[in-house]
Amino acid sequence: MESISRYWSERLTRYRLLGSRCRKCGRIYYPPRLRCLCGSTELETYQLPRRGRLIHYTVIHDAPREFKQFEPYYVGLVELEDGTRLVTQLTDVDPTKIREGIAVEAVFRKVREDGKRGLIFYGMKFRPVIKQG
Amino acid sequence: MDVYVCGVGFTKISEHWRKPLRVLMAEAGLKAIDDSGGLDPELVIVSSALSPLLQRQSHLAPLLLEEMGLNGKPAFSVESGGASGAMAFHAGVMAVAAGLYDPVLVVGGEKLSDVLPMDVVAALQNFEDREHVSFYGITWVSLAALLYKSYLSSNGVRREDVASLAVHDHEMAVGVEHAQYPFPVKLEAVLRSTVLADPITLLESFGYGDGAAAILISRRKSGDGCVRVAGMGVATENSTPASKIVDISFKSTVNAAEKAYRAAKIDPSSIDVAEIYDPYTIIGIVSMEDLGFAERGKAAKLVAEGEVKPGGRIPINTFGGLKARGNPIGATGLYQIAEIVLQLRGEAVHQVPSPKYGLAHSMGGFGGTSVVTILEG
Repeated sequence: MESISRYWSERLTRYRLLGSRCRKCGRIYYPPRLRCLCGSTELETYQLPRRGRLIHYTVIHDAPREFKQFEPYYVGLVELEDGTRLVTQLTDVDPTKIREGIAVEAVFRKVREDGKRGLIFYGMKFRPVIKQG
Repeated sequence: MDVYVCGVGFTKISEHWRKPLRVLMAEAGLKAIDDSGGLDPELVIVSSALSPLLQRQSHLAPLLLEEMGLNGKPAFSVESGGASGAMAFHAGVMAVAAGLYDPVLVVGGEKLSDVLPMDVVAALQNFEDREHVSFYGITWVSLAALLYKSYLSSNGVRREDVASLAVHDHEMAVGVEHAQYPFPVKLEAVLRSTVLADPITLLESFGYGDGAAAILISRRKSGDGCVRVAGMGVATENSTPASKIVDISFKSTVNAAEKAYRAAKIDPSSIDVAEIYDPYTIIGIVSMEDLGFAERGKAAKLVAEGEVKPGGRIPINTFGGLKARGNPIGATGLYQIAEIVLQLRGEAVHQVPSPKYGLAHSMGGFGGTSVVTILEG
């Protein structure tokens, strides 16, 4: 069984998209860092925007054991509204509509289960923004 | 102080069902000692990136020494993902150059056939940040696929030209006894093979195999077969993959190469033969540009035009590269260095005409670590 405390210690970063921002030079880090590239250790908690656009995407057909049951699944490079970029799993994808440049938003989702008795892992994925009306 | 490679040894890369990891590694180590004329190592440095995961065996060094009949000598392991072998070599050169140990034997090995392919994928995935990359099922090949898309979209490069690196690697492996796949493949077959992560196909990816390689290092030239370590460079880079995909560059490789060229007092145009780290075609192509062998966006064309064959502008992967020679992770960097030694000795199957400088390039994970080694014949 996988460690509960290890998973718990990362929950804010994963659940709320919390990174860090350097008070001196303004650099943004996700995941958060203790010390900035500029040398400063004055980093504050920073909330990443939840919206962005999809720059590139691919489909995984060759998954590791833990994710084998989800094949094929999408991952993408997303640029958030503040310019932060991250590689993320995509969800709720319509294969006929996905393309580079579409708007995406963060959504809290189950990632996987550690067997029948272990933890259920959650985290942030991104999904295409559906236009209303 | 000059340091020399005086012996090389390696096994064929294959599925070695009948041999455990440490036996494969011991065979390679003993061959390197033989090749050096029987030098007796004072220190052994061991490289296996995945044995704690795949074989559930950490602390491999004393087991290997016992297998080799070298019980009692100092030994330790070095791990830097896919750059482990090259990094272990780097540690060996440091030990010899510092005057602490001489000679030093470096042995790398990996055995992927002990587990199912999906468990190899899982193990390789952990070269990236477990908490924020592999946690989400983001795999090595998927990162390479995003890099591939980025490369194609920003340069207007032909996908066929990138894929032609796999064709080149296979052509170079023909006749190479230690290569995993010593047969040619056609470009159409590469493009049409199973997709692992769009656009990367099975034949643009390394296959899983077992192998071990070893190098013997000394300050003293023990024979005509010794080649000099002209320069080395090691660099790391941030662990988040996004910037590398957008920049279409691995800064760790750029920085490691710059250090190695400066140490050797040469520039990329002086390199006569190179071993490029290409677990996927696109990583090899981008690395060629990071090493200064092609302008940005031009490496794929160079490969497609055959300028990377012996006699061309920059011969690379003359024993098949990671694609066709094979990629037994912790041993790969040592195979690359051994192959450069064979070229500089004039003993290669596909020999480059009288090379003076050879370069080997290894990478850990998706550019987290890069090691560049320049040897002089």
